[in-house]
Amino acid sequence: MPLHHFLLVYDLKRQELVKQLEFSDGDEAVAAYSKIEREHSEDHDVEIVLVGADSLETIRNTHAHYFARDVSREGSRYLAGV
Amino acid sequence: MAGTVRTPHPSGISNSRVDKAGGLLREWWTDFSIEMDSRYGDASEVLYDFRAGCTNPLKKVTVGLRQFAVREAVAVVTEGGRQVMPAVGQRLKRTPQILNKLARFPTMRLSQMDDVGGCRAVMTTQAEVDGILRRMRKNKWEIVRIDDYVAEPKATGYRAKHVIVRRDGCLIEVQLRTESQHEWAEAVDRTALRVDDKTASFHGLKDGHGPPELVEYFRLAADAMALEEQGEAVDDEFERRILELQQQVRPYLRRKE
Repeated sequence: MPLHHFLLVYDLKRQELVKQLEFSDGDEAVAAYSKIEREHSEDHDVEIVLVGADSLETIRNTHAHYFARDVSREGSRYLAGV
Repeated sequence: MAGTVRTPHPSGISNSRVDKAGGLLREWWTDFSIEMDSRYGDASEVLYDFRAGCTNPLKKVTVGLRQFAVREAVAVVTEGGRQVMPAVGQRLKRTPQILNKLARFPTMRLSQMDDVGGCRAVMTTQAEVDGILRRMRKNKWEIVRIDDYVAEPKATGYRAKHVIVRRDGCLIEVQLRTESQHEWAEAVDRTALRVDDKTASFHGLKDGHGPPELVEYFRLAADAMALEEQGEAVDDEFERRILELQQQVRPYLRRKE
């Protein structure tokens, strides 16, 4: 399985992803991760994370909270509106 | 095990150096009077390199986990003719999360932190989750520890099975969740990103920090979802209480305009 790496920058004030970079090379991805974390080390308004999977579609499921809610998916009524 | 020689960490950095860096960073993170200087800057670089060392072992574990998950998924459902495979994804822990964890556990050594690299599989049923665990054992994965938060949920309501494995000298956390457990956990994470109250978004709602009624709401919702997943009924009184709390916490859940 080819693993794709996605470096996500989520803006906590705007409440949305403001950057999404894709890498096929893990070492390049992790170097970019450290670099961007270093640049934002005093910035508490962003959340930066490096995730990976076979596709971005999979990440939208395994790390769904960084993405706009998929309203077409029917979830538990106990979590309606969350 | 006593007497066995362990594979060194793939970062090539000695445990003592990693732990020293971890200690310094904990100090800096918890004492707001400390200014970032070159000592702490160097320690950050050690942390980045240590984390980068997990890249390949994590990839191997994720790829292996996906193979198990695909084989274990008994019912591969099709949605509009498209095969829906179990979702397997990985992440390298965010630096602020690493520092928060060091701060929360004052005696923890950074070299022994077992979830710097982590991956998860989301399966349809608990039986599939347990099947993956069996496959890990059968294929002789080096299992260091299993945290069974299904048998004993966290106080927050969190449920999943966490398996700590060692691969190429690196500790990796494998989270095994059912769809229902995952839906709940993602809902908590999603809310933590939204909540205005800094105690929730900064320290993490998933650790039980945040407005008490919100924490309580999620705890009860998790209990109800677990009951339903096991095919058990949620009694009316319990359901009413959750839906009541759901109304109360609505302001926290609303997106900022």
